Amino acid sequence: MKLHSMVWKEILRRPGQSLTALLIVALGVSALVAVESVVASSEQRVASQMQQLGANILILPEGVTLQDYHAADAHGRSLPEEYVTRITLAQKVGVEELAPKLSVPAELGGDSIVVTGILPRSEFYKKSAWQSVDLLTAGLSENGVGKKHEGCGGRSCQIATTDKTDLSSYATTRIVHELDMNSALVGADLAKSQGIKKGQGIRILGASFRVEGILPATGTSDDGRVLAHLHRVQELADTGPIVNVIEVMGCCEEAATDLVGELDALLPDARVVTISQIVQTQVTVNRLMNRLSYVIFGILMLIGGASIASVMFANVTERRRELGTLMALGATPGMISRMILLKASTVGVCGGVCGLGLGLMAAYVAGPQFLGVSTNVSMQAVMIGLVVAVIVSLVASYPPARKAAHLDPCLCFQDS
Amino acid sequence: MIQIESICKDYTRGRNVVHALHPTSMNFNGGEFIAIVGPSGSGKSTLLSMIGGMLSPTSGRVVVNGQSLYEINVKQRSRLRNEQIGFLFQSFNLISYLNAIENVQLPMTVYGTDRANQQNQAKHLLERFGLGERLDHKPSELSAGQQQRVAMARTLAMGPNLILADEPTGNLDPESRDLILRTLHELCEEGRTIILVTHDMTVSASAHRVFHIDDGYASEDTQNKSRDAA
Repeated sequence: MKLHSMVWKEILRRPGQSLTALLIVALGVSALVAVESVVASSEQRVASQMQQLGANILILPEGVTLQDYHAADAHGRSLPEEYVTRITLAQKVGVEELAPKLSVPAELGGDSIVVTGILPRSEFYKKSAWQSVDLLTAGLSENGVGKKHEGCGGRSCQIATTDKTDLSSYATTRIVHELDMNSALVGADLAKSQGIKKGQGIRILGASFRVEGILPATGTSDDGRVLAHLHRVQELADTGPIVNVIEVMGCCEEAATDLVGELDALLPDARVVTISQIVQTQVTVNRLMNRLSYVIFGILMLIGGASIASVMFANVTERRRELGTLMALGATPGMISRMILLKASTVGVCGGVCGLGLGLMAAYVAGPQFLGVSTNVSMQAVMIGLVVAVIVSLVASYPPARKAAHLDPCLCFQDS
Repeated sequence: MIQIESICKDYTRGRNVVHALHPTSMNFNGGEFIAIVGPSGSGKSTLLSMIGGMLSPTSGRVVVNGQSLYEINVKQRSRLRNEQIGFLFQSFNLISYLNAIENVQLPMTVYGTDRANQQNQAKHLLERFGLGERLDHKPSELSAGQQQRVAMARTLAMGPNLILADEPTGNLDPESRDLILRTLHELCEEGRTIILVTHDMTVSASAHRVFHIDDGYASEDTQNKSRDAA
């Protein structure tokens, strides 16, 4: 017989005591794992919504409102395209993508439409090359336009997840990697109303374009537009190097805090606005849930710790005679302590594993039910939950273990 | 083999000092059967605890096989107790959630003996005490006599040369009592020293030497010694 099998037999002998402590530990861990996994799903949902939303920061000409922007950028005012370079070179932390746009009126098949010039990513490489900023090129390929921000909950930059050949990804990411000077993308509604198909040629602003893709419907003004290379649109509309708006995809936390102010300072004669309410609300809810899960976990671990301590103290008192006998048989105080701590860590590990199972079950039910997304298991929460459960069990059991180790072995000669 | 040199035990309660055992010296040899008799609260168990290395004397020394018990550290003392001293208790002190064979294995578990040897030795001892059919029985499934035999097997698990027995026959029927006493005498004949605390005169009558303790004062019953000599 080994010490651990003796401990296990003792746990099974008094299952009620151990189960109480185990249950509280399990509840704490399950609360943490469930809420954290739901928060991870929520963050994924926020990230996905932000992607669908496109930009979360807009750089508009002075005096242009958000309403003007939503009205197909038809405000008639402009910004120098050089601002794009300025932002790129500033390497602001949290700037993931930049999407400068110039919208001009045009005609297609007798209908008035809007042609929007967009800048493909490949143009950023060209800019960095002629600006001799080598670091920028490296940064572009890995982390987006600006420096990587560590506080985005592990959300990867959109560039990394976008298929470079898929032009229709513009609908969700505002990014196209390559766009030929004579190529165009057509919005879903416009393509439908004019019967335009991929590969077909169209004529706008007096020039011919080949339709490289039909954008999926987004429910925005993009559905009625034709998108072409910014420089081609500037050339055909004879506007010079200007844009109407620069859309910035900032990682959400930065967008909600420092980035707007920094961009404002960088471009003093432009208007920097953020869809702050949306961003702020999402960020706040996520942070709140995140903190709440740790608060609940902390409270339950405190209760669990107190419960384990109480159970173990009662256990030591109940087993005084048995522990005294073991000492009479030659068990050292260290061995007696180890027995108690082994029992506590067994309760901690079992409680942690049960809590993990319960938490994952809860998350898998709550995630799809309330958030409409598949649940992402928060490995961080799993690890923290298990480790803290064992540590709390051991710390809470230390005083009873110490008491047990210092029991008077003469007890076994008494109480006869 | 066992030297007890002027050991005494005092307990301090507030300003009062209670003399549980006044300075006592004794010497025991291997193969001796010693009985310690006296009324309840006279200091018998205190003396037994100090001989067993479980209670530090206020002063004096206890030397077992050349090792002064209270001049070595706790770990060494526990090891010595495990290897050289066996305890037998009035209320058996078997662990309720372990079966007979597991209870006998306990001293070997403490020592770190491998599982196979533990099982062989424990089984052999239980068979010696007629409990070969009761290996898997929990203490609650055994009679008092059987429980004391399991406790006796546990005492012998590490082959100790000193056995300390505190009223081992106190809870037993006459038949079981005779069996335990007979076994203790057999162990004594094997060269082990038996120190037995009792207030049963029939038990002490069979001892080689008898010590009386009364109110913390110990004295040897020389009549018993002279009877032995005669």
